[in-house]
Amino acid sequence: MKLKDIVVVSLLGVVGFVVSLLSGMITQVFGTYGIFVHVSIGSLLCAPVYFVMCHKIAKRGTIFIYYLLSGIIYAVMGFIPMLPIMLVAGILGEACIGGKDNYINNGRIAISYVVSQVIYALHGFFFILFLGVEGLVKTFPNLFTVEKAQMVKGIFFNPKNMVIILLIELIASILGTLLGKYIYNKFFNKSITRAGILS
Amino acid sequence: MKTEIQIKPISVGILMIIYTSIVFFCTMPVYWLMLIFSFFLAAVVKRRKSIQLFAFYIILFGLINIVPSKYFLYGWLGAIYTMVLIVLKLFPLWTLSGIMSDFSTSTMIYSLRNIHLPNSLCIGVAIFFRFIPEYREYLSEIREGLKARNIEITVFRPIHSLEVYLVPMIYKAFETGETLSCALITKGIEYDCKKTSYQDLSFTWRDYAVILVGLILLGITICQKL
Repeated sequence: MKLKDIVVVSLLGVVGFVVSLLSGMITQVFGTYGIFVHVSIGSLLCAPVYFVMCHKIAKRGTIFIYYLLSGIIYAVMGFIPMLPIMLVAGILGEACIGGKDNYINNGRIAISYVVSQVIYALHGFFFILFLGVEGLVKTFPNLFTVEKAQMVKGIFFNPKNMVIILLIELIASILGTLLGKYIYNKFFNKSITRAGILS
Repeated sequence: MKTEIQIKPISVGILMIIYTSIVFFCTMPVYWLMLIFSFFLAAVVKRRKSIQLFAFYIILFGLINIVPSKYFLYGWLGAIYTMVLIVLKLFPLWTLSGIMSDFSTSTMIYSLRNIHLPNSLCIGVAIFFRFIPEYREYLSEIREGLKARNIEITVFRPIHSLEVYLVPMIYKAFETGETLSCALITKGIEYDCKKTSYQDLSFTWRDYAVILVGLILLGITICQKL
């Protein structure tokens, strides 16, 4: 990757990070149900950034750097467990793209985006899986009582809830990929010839 | 002639790592010490910003203490209450992030390079830190532009509303990327030689003092947990 590519990926990473952070905050208004859509709104809104990034910087490592930087910033903000999750999301995203030439393949970009966003969406589940109820109370003593942590665990480990979370995330990511493709073609794809005013 | 920075990005970075590792485990007195120290550092680096951060913290803290938590355990108010609690808990770290974002990209890159991080990672992390606060300004610029053109965002046209915000942000990223990479190349970042800096980034007693305070806070937390 050239210097300019790294700079642009980092800046697009900032856009993605800001959008997902803002949309994560918006989900707070859904209250208890916010847990089901916490990442989904971000997945829907960040897809255009991802699509434009893959098309414009079609080089190996683009997706990995995009997720790695978000992971580092989450870690610096105090959420260290987010770093390995984002690393896995980045590696799987790169793996799903496959060959070097597939960075401009919309289908591959879509698969890569959906897979990495699903990993990202499950971060709450991974937190509880690794920390457990006691760990959650100890790690976030001001946020969780044992009852509240138990309630959150109950929500995440209930197969029905898990299916709902995954389903919402899948739908949001797929809709996001369609939105990403639409925005890329409308504003960034110079190879599409549009009917001019004189044609 | 080299210019001197009062507190170096690396010492703030080390303090951030220490804070990150103890912020969720520490007792309230240690938390208060962390908070006071981060406000103090912010005041040393940028007095005006420290006042803004302090005022913001006081407002949030006041809100949380005025409203009894038992009313807000569940529902969407409960979720917002929890979010404010998270913000308060992480405020010492965010204050340090605010200090970091005040350093120039070149200073950050040079500091990260000094600890032998890969070049691409140095650039990425430095840009990420530097430009997160910038995007708040970009958003307000976009909002002003929309107002000037009499474009309204509405829930009835969600895609259009999204486009008018997201597309300029993506374009801005490419534009900034172009300018920034030109500036970095002009400064010779790609040239294969030992890099120097106009700013003196060698540690002084202030940096050692910052790290020492961080280590003391870490030590207290470890002792309390054992």
